[in-house]
Amino acid sequence: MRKQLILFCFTFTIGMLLFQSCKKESATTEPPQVGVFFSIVGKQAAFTALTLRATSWSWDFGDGTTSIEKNPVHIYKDGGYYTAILIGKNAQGESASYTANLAVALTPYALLTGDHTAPGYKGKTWKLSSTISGGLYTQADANFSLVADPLGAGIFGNLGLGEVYDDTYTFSFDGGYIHDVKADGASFGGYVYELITTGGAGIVNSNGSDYGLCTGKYTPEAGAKFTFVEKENFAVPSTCAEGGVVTYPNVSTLDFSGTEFIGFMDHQRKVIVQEITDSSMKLVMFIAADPDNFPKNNLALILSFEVVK
Amino acid sequence: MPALLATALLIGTSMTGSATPDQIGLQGNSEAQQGLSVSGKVTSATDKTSMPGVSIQLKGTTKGTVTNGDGGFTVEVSGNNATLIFSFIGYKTLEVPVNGQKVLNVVLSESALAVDEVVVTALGISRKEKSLGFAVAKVSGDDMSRVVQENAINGLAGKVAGVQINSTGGTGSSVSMVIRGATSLSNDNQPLFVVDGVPISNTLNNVSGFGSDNKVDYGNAISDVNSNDIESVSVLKGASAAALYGSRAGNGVVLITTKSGKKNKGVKIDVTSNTVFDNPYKFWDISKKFASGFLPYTPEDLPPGTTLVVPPSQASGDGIPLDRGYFAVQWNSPKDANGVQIPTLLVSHPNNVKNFVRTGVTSSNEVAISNHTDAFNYRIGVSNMTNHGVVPNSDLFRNNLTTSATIKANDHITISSNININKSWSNNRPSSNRGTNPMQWAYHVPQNTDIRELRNYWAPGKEGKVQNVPDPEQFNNPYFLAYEVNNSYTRDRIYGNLKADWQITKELSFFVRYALDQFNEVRESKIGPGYTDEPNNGAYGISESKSYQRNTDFLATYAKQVEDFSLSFSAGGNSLYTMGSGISNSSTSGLVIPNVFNVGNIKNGTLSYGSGWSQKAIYSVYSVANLGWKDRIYLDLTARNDWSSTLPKANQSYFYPSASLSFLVDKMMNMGDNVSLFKVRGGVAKVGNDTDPYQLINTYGNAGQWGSAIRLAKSGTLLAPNLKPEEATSVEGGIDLGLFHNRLRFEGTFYKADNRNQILRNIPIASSTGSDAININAGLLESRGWELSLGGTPIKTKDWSWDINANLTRNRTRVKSIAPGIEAIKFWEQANGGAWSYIGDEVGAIYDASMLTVQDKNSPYYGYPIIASQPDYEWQRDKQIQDQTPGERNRIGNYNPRFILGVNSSITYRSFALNFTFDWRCGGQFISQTERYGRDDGYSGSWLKSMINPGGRTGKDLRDWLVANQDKLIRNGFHVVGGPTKELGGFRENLTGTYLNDGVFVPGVYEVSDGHGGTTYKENLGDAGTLFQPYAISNGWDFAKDAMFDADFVKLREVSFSYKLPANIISRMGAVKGLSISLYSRNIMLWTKAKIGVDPERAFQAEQSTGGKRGVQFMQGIERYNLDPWVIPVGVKFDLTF
Repeated sequence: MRKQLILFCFTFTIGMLLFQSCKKESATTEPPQVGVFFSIVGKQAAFTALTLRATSWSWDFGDGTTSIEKNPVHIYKDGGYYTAILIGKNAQGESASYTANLAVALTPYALLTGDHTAPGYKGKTWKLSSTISGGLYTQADANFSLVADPLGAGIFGNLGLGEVYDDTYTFSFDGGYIHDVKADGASFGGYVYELITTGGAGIVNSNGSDYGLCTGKYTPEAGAKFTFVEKENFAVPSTCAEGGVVTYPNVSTLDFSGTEFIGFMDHQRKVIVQEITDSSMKLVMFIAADPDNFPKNNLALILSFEVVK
Repeated sequence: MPALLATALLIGTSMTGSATPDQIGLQGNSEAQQGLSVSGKVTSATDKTSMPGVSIQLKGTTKGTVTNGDGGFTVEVSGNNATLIFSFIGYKTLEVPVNGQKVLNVVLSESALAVDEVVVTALGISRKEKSLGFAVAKVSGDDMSRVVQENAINGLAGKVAGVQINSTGGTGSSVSMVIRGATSLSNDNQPLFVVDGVPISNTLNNVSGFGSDNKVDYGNAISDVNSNDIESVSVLKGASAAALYGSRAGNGVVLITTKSGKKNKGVKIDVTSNTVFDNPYKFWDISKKFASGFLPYTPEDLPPGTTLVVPPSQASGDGIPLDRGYFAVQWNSPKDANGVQIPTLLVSHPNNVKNFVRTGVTSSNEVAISNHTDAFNYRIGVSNMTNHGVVPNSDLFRNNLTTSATIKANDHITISSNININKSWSNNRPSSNRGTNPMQWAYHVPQNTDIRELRNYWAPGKEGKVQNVPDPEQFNNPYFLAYEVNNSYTRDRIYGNLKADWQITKELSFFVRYALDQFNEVRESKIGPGYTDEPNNGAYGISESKSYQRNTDFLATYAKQVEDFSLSFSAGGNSLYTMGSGISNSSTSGLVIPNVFNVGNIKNGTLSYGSGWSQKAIYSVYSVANLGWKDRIYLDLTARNDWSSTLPKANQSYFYPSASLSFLVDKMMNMGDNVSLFKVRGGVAKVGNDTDPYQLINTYGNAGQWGSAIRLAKSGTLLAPNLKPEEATSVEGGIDLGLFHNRLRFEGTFYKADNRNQILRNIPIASSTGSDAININAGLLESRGWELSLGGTPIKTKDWSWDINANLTRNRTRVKSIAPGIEAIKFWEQANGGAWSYIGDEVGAIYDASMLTVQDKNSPYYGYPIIASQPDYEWQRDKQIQDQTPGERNRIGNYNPRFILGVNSSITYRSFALNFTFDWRCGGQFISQTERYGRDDGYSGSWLKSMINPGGRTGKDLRDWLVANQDKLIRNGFHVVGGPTKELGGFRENLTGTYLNDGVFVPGVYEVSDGHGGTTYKENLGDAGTLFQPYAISNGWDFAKDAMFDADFVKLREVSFSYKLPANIISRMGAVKGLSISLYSRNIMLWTKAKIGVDPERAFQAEQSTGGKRGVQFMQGIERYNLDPWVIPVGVKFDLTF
């Protein structure tokens, strides 16, 4: 009986909804929602309109060319920074737009330091990304053999080290480097490194100690410099290789003046740049977590950094 | 020869029982003659047809006869004043005074009113129910087959007081039947099933399967009995009813009598066709508004322009909110011109599981031919059952050939035989528990993915190797599991008997019987490449087992009536021999070549192999005496001695007696017309229970290779060379009442049983003894219970009748003692809790780790949880069960129901009938690991609903509101304030480094330093200092209680509406003698107290191991992914008789 009643109410409600929606048809509509996704390979940009309720699209690629395709593919003549705009319209002519900034066919150095021709340029600022997953915790060997499953987004926050995502790293076109450790005056780094170099006194937050991680006191150097090498053979002291050294051929590297570093403070300051785009880069940072073989590295962290806007 | 003058003679007072004069008539022909033979014909009042097989007794003597195939009879009477008693099962017994008549034509009417009903009791002896001193329940074949059941035992649910029937899973799973509660700690507590005198092998331990986490319940073997072949079922509940079956009957006896040709006249052909559709309608309540992932990011939480990504390797269910117009790169997103995956719209797919399962179809068809003549009656039936399961690619089939024949060689010798040959098989039984269970993975399909896209279950370009899922290392595709994991079986069985009855004199009779039950069963598991837990090309295994059971018994009976006394004495013996053997081969680490499923494809050194056999014999002698006085007092005495081969020589002989008494008070004093039955009864009995073979002396077994040598080892458990039989002593008493011409009926029974010498397995001992556990005889379990049944016939007119019966079951089994130094028996330990029975506990008790709370009664925070001050900021365990203080242990529930109430009703109007059976389980709890995992993985709907939404309150406001409602919101449970999104009450938190609105907190206090070397409590109530953390990590994983639910439910076990073509139409249909059609449904869940969409009846976790102790593979009171959807079946049944 109750079932029948429910069925009746259900049928009735659906009927009413249909009836009402028929009436409503010609009344107000929502404006379209517009977003853009693009990818760049060489000078070819593939655009995808992420729109809802849109029935027509018009693109301005920022180089004087346009398109009315939904998902156009455009090849830029010259490399450089471009601004592309999509306007989406619904059947009633209501429109919304989205602006996308593209960096086309730029050198890794340009991607790292940003558009120095832009007005008010003060370098390009990066931070450890908590939102992009796929970080790795590996051995310091030639193939970066996996130690743990891919690290989840924001994993260090789960360990109680959430503040490591706050620190920023600014790279200037002129080679200048500004490291900001924020309020805690500390940086993400190796637990064993702290024990050996400070006797533990430098440790600020030991929540990640089970994994050889912590935050430790660090005062950034004023007037620091960075060095980016696009291709070199990079030799790293490692417990994972015969002879105690592992050499990574033809890699891009980042090194710093004095005590400076990026991301992870350990004995080894120089890092490998695995990937770099306009908005993110992936770095390999080494850890010397074996107290018996310090400062030889035995582990590596492969983490993403994102641009701070 | 004088003309026959038909005279209608109405009788009303000389009948046993009662009836109104217009319902029962006697037509006679009167002629004054002395001491001659009387002849006549018996017909049925219902359909006016003649009735063969009606028993006719000359009152006050043991002389009598039965009617022939045409209902005719001739009987010698001693004088004109003699009285004849006509009786037949299902009909009212009629006493007819001869009064000098030579021809008596008698009309018997059907008895809806159970007065003098006959029941089948121990050793197959039919007894008048009123003469019994103990409770025997009976269920007619019609009641068993009105609704088709793949396992006939399901047809008893809700119909018998004192019996608990549980389906442990979906169609084809084992069905548990426990009579008067579990009495043994060492076996599965299933009753002995006896079909036509043949004890049938049956167990709850049917879980097997090869490959990692591939646990398949192949169903219990009693399902081989076709419900449509059942004539009647008697359930012998107490030890006194069961004393004559000896050690095998420690858990009660179910006597099944199959149909025979006895009732017909002439050749009769019955055709029955039955089809039922199981329509899935209700599913486990999961959260459907989030993509897979740990954190519910929204674009507002991230820098503008950030592309959202649904991380494929995160199998949790609380990722980015769905249906909000967000775009994200998903595992199955298409690629753009640069080969980069593009973001696609995030939408929910709330009907994923519904789209996965299908409508189950079970069809059962039978043709039976039977005949009855003076010398020979037979019945031959052929039936087929076909089931296509609700889970895709699952099925079940059964073919039965059943024959029964009785040959009356002469007036003294009768030979009878029943033979059943059947084959049951399946191409694929879906697995249970976690692992290869397709239902588990159907619920794990990310809500942002349409399950229908997974139908093509191979990853594009990696067909035959890798599953089409977000991440092949984290996920299984439910369609892959349904189609590429195949667990098949075939069971060929024959059971039957051959019996010779010798009526030596009128008083003395003798029978000898040979009974056989034998089957071969092959089970095979084939797992294709790609299953996450079998990385090396899948898995394969095959096992073959044989079971043989032979019983030979004889019984001599002497029955005599001496004036007011009736006496029946029987003595007999039985020889039981059982033999089982098996061989098994399987892979332990994959296959050499994928999809080649044979033993030769298993790599050397990774083949697991074994074989074994066992035998057992029990010899028994027994006797039974029934004494009656004037139909008023009956006394039953039984004695039995068993010799079991499984017990040591010194203990292998054991004796058990029983006595029962019944007083028919209504016959002893005049209680007026309104009391048709008032019986007081009572009995005392002892019954033994032996053990499995080879439980006495440790022997060596193969322990694998060591280099090129084979190692032999003894088990670490010390066996008990002096094992004694378990022993149950029971007392029961009861009252049976029939009022107002039996239109109101009552039966009440109280029983108490002491179960001693429990065989306890694997009791830990100091390993300095050379062993780490021992088997012992010890302990005392006490069961007490009530069985009440109340029935009525409120309406009974020419056209209408309404019958209603209710039965109530209440049982408590308590552990009174165990053994010195042992304080508990542990049945299982799971989910940080477990089913432990400490001394004094009721069996079924569930314990949990205790929670750390403020104990100081003077503290304003008394009873508040003390939460951890490091993530996860939540409830902390105080003590595990074994470390808790005796007497203060954290008992959180019991998996046995407080009571079971069954209600059956039948309403008929002319040719229409409506029948239904309700089953209400009240009380009891169960642990749902499904929920526990679902909560931890963030996709439990009930957990999401349980979040306390602060309703916009913050700071002190929120704190004061929580404190004002502290009993509901802070103490006594697992409370969480907040939610996964802003709209659902989420707070801001940045544990991961990014501020999100998925913040929650556990209301309580946490410890901080008081600055003087001690600690003090700081409030965690939403005001300053509150420790917020993401929704994803806030659940009570560390405690069983967070996943414990009330097990109460009400099921509509059966409902059927039938129409039988009336006789006047049938008579015009030529060959057709009867036609009926019915519409029905079964097992519809009407209500559960736990509103999570998990069936509490199926709180049985299937494991391959018996846990070393409990003697049964299932863990009762807990389930893990026992998730077949709830269904509304619609069935149609046709019965056609020629």
